[in-house]
Amino acid sequence: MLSKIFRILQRDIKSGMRDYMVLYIIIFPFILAFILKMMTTSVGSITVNVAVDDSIGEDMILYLEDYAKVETFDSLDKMRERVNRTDDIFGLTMKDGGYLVYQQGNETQGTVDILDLIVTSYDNQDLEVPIDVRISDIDWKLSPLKQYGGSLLAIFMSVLGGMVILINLIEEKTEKTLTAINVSPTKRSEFVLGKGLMGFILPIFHSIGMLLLLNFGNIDYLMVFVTTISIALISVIIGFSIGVTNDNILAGISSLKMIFIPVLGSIFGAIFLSAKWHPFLYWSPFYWAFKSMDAIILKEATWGMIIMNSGIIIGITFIVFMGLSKRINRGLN
Amino acid sequence: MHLLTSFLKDLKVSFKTFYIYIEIIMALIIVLVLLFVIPENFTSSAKAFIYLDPALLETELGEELTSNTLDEIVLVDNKEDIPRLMEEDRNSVGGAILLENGKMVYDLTLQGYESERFRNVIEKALTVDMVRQLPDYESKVSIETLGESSERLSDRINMLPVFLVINSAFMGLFIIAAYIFMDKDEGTIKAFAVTPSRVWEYLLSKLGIILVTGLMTGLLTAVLVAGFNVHYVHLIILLIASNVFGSAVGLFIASFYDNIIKAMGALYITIITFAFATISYYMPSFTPLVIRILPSYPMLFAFREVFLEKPDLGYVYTYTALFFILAVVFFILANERFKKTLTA
Repeated sequence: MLSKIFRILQRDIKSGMRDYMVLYIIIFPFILAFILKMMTTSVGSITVNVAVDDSIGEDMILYLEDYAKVETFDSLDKMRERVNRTDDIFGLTMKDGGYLVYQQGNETQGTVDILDLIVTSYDNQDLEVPIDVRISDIDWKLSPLKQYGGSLLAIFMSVLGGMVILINLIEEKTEKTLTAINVSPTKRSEFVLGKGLMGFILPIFHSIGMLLLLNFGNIDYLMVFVTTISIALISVIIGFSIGVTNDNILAGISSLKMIFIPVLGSIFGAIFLSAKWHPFLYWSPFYWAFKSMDAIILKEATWGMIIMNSGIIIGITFIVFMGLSKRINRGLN
Repeated sequence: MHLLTSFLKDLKVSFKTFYIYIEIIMALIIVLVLLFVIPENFTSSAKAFIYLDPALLETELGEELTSNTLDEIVLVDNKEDIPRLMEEDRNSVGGAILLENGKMVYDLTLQGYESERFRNVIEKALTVDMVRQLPDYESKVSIETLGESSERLSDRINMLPVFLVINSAFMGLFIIAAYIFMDKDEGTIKAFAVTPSRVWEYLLSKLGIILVTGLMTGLLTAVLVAGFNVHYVHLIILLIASNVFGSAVGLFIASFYDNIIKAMGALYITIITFAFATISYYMPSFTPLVIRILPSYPMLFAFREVFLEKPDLGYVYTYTALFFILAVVFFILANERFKKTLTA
């Protein structure tokens, strides 16, 4: 039995490799993680962007670089042209012995005041300030962008496994190989397990690999494993139920598009809504998965919490499975 | 004539499949989310937990702080509570305003992930009010606005371009390949090969279906969320150009593959890559070159313009024209390739 299950898995990987599909799916999440990693380092250092022309001296540029990202231009026109482009960047030039700041007008509110403050301070550096400023921190190096981005990616990847199954099944249907399986000595359960295995292996490989790449430090990967398995379970069931009931790729793709709504909705809801609105998200397994993943990344997760959240996810999965099992069975025939 | 017949037939068929209805339902869900879940304006400013030295309560600053009604400023009675409160909200900052040896001290506590530049700016910002009151202080900075309009959209309307680009303009990227390979699998293309119609007519008719669906969902979202505050003529023209562009790119990519499963990997990567422009749309200070060269980047800003009271029509139509030209180029290239492979 086991050998048959693995043969089905092997065949899926082989045919996927031939189509490059599996290759894309394996590599792409890591590219996403890499981009997130790049972003968290560069976004974190952004305060104000400023374009200066040749009237601004070397000293001033050096001073500005302590506070802002500076681009230099050799003429006023080029600098003004730069300011007028779509992104947020201010212009700075000397005029009549004073400074002139150019803005486009639609920049993020308040940023021009920051630049005004930085430039003004340059001229008033010698003034003795009547107060002392001390800055310290509580040694928390993880930015919210990386924290939430990591959880979001981990859950997305757990859902992806189910999608691979969906695509695989529709391919079987269009190529009429599903009917062939029905007359082969392979049992129904073996076929389902063989197909489903991919939906678990990929997410585990992805979420653990991605979290390692993002380097969250000493987090509990066994907890990640348990959470990933539980969310992959519901994705596999959704993938199966859509995959076997649709022999039309169009419907498959649009269903895939629809699944992103509850996934993204639950995660963004959990991040942005205040706690009193959270009960509205309790129905969503993706909400509970996010709660677990977030706690794991923050190193605040306890086994009790992980087991409870995973239990809720599996409970919801069970209800969904009960509702869909007939459909899946009928579709496989 | 062939084109029209073929288009009308395709349109009739597509209304019979439930795909088009899924797109409409999806657009309605987006509308519901925008209207009922997303507040019209949401501030994302960070909370500050402030402790004030009792000796400073009677000062102007003390009175200002104790009478503040801002949600962002939370006064705490105990300086020691600040780190604990900050741990609960990782977006927050903390600060204590103290009096030491007759001199005022701002003791600011940050989380730790903030950059050096951010720290420098904060340090300057804290002292600026004091410096301004010094007799020798002078400011030689003046500000000039270059743009004609400094109008800003509400946060809710500002989200519309994202949905319009991903859901309506790039609809073809998602789906046009599926339409074509489905016909291929079902043998419709073989039947088509023996008719006098040409491949480009067949492809154009598919493009037409996506355009109708894209316009329907795009306008539905715009009408229900923004009502009359849209320049509909410009919006429709821009939607047409961007939707046709999306479909032509979709066709071109699909022409390299002989079934949908193979094509989908490449198409999905294209969509997700294009979607990265959204990051810079929301964070205009973060615009690396890799994002600026994506077609979705100017597309997002062009869509934003049509919701402004005084849109920059030069910008909108420069890119509309560019998308049209690119659409034609990609369509011709896709047609050349499909001519060889589609009916083979």
